[in-house]
Amino acid sequence: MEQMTPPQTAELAPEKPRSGPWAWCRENLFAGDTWGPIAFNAFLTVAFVLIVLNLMGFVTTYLFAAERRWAAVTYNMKLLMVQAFPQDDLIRIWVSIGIFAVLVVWSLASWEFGGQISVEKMAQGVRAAFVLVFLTGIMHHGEGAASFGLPFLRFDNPADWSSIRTWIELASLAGAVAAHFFAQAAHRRESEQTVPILVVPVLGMALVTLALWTVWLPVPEGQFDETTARIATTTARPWTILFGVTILAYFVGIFLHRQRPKLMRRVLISAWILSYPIIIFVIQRDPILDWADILGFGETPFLSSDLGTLLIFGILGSVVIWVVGLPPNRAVTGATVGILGVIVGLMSFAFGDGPLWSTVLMAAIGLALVAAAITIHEPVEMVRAAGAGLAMLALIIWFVPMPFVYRTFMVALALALLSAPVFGGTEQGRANLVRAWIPISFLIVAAFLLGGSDTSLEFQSTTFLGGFNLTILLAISGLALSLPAGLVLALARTSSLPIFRLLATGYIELVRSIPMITWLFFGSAMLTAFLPSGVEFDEIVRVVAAIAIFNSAYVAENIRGGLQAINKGQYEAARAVGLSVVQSTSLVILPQAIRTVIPALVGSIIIAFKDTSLVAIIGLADVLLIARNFVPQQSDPNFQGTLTQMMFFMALFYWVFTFTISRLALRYEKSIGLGER
Amino acid sequence: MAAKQTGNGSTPAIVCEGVKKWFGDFQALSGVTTTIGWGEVVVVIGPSGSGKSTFIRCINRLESHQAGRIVVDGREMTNDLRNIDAIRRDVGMVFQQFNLFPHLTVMENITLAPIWVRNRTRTDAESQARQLLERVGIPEQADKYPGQLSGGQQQRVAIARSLAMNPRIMLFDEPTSALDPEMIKEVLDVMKELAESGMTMIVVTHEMGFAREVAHRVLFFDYGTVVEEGTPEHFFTNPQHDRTKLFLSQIL
Repeated sequence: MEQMTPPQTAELAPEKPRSGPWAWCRENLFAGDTWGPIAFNAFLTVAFVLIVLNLMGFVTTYLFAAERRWAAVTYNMKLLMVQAFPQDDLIRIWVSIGIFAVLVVWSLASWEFGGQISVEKMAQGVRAAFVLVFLTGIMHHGEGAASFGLPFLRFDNPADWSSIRTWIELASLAGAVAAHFFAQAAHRRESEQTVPILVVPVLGMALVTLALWTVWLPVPEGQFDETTARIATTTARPWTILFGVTILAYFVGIFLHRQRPKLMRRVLISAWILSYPIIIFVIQRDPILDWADILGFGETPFLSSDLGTLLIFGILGSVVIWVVGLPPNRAVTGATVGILGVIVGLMSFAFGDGPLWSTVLMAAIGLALVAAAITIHEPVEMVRAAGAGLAMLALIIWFVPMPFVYRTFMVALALALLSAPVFGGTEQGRANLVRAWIPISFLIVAAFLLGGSDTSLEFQSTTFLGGFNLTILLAISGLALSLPAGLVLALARTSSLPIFRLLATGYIELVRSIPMITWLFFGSAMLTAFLPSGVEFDEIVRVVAAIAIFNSAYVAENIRGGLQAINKGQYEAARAVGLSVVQSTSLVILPQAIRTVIPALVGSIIIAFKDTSLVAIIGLADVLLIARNFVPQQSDPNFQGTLTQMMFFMALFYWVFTFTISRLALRYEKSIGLGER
Repeated sequence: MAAKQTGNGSTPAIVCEGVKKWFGDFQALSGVTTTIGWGEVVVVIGPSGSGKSTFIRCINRLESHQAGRIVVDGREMTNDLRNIDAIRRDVGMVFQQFNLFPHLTVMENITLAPIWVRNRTRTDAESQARQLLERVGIPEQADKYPGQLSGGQQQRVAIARSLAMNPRIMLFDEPTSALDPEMIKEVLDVMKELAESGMTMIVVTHEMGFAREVAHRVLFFDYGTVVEEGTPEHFFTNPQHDRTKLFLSQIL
C-alpha cells in the first residue's frame, strides 16, 4: 500500500531557459521594470564594484611595488617551515608529509570521493578569475597608473615591476577571451561534457611542478653567484617526487579499494589514528636512528627499547582486555585477575623505594585482586572490581619513582578494564576494545618520544621543533587532547550527579574566564609546581597541556549545546529498548549531539589552529614569530625591514589552511546530510 | 482467553497494587490497582491528564512510582537498576512521537539493542530485523533513514524495533495520535496482528474502534485512577459510571 506510483499523466516542470551573461546581469545587477529602479540598482552595482576594485587595487599596488622584496619569503621558506631542523635530517619531514599525502589520497579512493565537474562551468570559473585579475590590474594605484588612462600599456621600461603588471594584464585579457570561447564551445555541444573533479588537483600539481623546474627569478644581491635562480632551489626534487608518489598512490588506492573495500576502510581508519604517533616517531626519534636500539638488540635491554615497551604493553594489555572483555567462565577471568594481583604485589617490591604508605597500599591492592579472583563468583563483577583496584593503583603510582611510561600505561589499562564490562561482553565489543588499545599504546610511546623525561626511550631534543612544524604539532596535539576532554566535560556538566556537574561547571567557568596567554604561562612556568616532585615534562608537552586545558572548555560548551538540542524522547526510547545508561549516551545521544555541533566545533578547531601563534609569547618559535621577528631582523640586508611582506605572506598562509578546513567540514556536513535528517 | 505459558507460569504478567505518583504537588496517579494476565490485550482510555500515559510509563520505569507495588513477571519494580534493566528487556514500548534514532538507518535502529544488549551477531540480528520488517509490511525500507519515511512507516519501524528484543509485554503510548488519518489504519493493522499472535499488550489510545475489536478488557482512567473496567461490550454498551457515560457521549 506504500508503493505509490505517480499518475501516468504527470506533467514535467517547464524547463528554465538558460540565461546568457547579458540576461544574468539584467536580472541580478540592473534589475527593475521601469527606469527609476533600474537607475537606482545600476548606481548601487557600479558604486559597489568601484569600491571593491579600488580595495583590490591597493593590494596589487602593494604586491607589485618596486620596493617589495618577496625574496624574503622564498629565501626563508625553510626557516619558516622547520626552523633549525638539521639539514641532514630533512628527509624525515619529507617522509612525514609523504605518509600524510598517501593517507589522504587513499582515503579519497576508499570513500570514492569525487564526482564530475562540467567543462563549461570550469571554463566559466576560469573566465571569471581572469576578468577579476584584469579589472584589479586596472585599478593599480602605483607609479604610472594614475587613472583609467590605460597606463598599463607601458612597454618602455621592461625592468620595472609595472611592466610585469602589463604582461599580466595582457595575459589575463587573453586568458579571459580564450576561456569565454571555450565555454561557448562547450555550451553549444549537445551533451554536457564533464571531467572527474580530481583532474583539478592533478592539473594543479602538474602546474606547480612545471613552475618549480622552469620559473627563474632574479636573485637578491649577495645570495648566490648567479643573477637568477629557480623559485625552489632546494625543494624542487622532493616536491616532484612527492607529487609523483601521491598520484601513484591514488591509483594503488583505487586498485586496493576495488579488491577489498571494507577491509581497506577499516585499515585506513586505524592508519589515520596511528599516523600521528608514527609521524612523531619519524620526526622526533633520536637524531641518529639506531635501529638496533629501537628494535631492542642494541645496547639498550630489550624490555626498555621502543619495540620492547610497545610489545609489553600492547600485547599484554590486549591479552588482558581480550580475556576480561568477554568473561567466558569464572576460571579464566579469575586466573587473569589473580595473575594481575600477583604482578601488582610484585610491583610493590620492585618499586619499593617510594613512600612506605604507597608500598603498603600497592601490596594491599595486589592482595585484594587475588582475593577478588577467589571470592567473587560473577565474572563481570570481578572485572569491575579489578578495574577499580587498578584505578586506585593508577593514582598511587604517581607518588612512586618509576619510569613515567609505566604510570601512564597503568592509567590507560585501568580505564580499559573499567570500560570492559560496558563495551565488552560481545565478540565485537571486545575486539573493538583491543583494537582501541593498540593505538593507545602507540600514542603513549609517542608521547614519551615527544617529551617524556625519565623514560629509557631516547628522543630528539625539542629545541629542534620550530616554524610551521611546531605550529602544526601544537594544533593537532592540542586538539587531539581537547576534543575528548571537552566531550567528557560536557557529559559531566549535564550529568545528574551533582558532584560531576559542580566540578565540570567550575572547571569550564574558571578556564574560560582566564586568557589563553595566562594559561600558556601557566603551562610553561607553573605546571611543574603542581605535579608530584620528580615528575617533569618537556616544555612542548606542558604547552600542549595548556592549549588542551583552554580549548577543552570551549569544546565542552559547544557539545553541551548539542546535548541540549536532543529530544528527551531519544533517551527514553534508548532506555526502553534495554540499552544501559552508558550505551544510550554513547550510541544514541552523543552521535546526534556531535552531528548538530559540527559547525561550532569546526569554528573551535580553526580558532585553536590560529591561537597556536600565541606561543610566541613564551618564547617558542612558531611560524608567525619567525616571520615577525627572525626574518626582518636578520643580518642580511636583503631581508631587513621586510615585516610587511612576511605578514602578508603569513595572512595568505593561514588563510589557505583555515579555508581548507572549513571547506572540508562543509563537504563532510553535506555527506552526512546535516540539517536533513 | 488462553493464557500464554511463559516465565514462571503461575504469576500474572503485571500486578499493580495502589500505585501512586506525584509530579510536584500534582497527583498523577491516585492508587491504581489492576492485574493483567499473559496474552491479555488491555486498552486504556480516558480524558487527557487522567494519568493513562503516566501509568504505562511507570510499568517500565520511565517514571518512578512513589507508593504501592508494581510487579512485572514476578519481579517487583524497585530502585535496583539491574532489576529495571532486566524488566525493560522484556517490556517493549512504542511512543506517540515514534522516537526513532534519526542518525541510524531503519536496519540499524532495529538491530542496535539486540546487538548491544542481547549480544547477538550482526548477521543474526539483521536477518531477524528483515523478518520483522516483513511482518510490519515495510521490508523495502531497511536502508532508509527515519526522516525519509512517512509517519505510519516510522511508527511501524518503532514497533519492529521493540519486537526485536523479543519482549513478552508491549506498551503502546498513544501510538496513532501523531499520525495523519490515512496512516492510522496501517499501524492499527500491525497492532491487531500482534494481539492475535498472543502478545500481552497495554494500549493507551483514543481509537475506540480498535478497543471494541481487539481489546479483551478496557480500563477507563480519570483523576489518576481506574474509574471503570470491563469487557468492550460491557464498556461501550452498558457503562455504569456517570463519568464514563459522559466521556463516551462526548467522543462517540
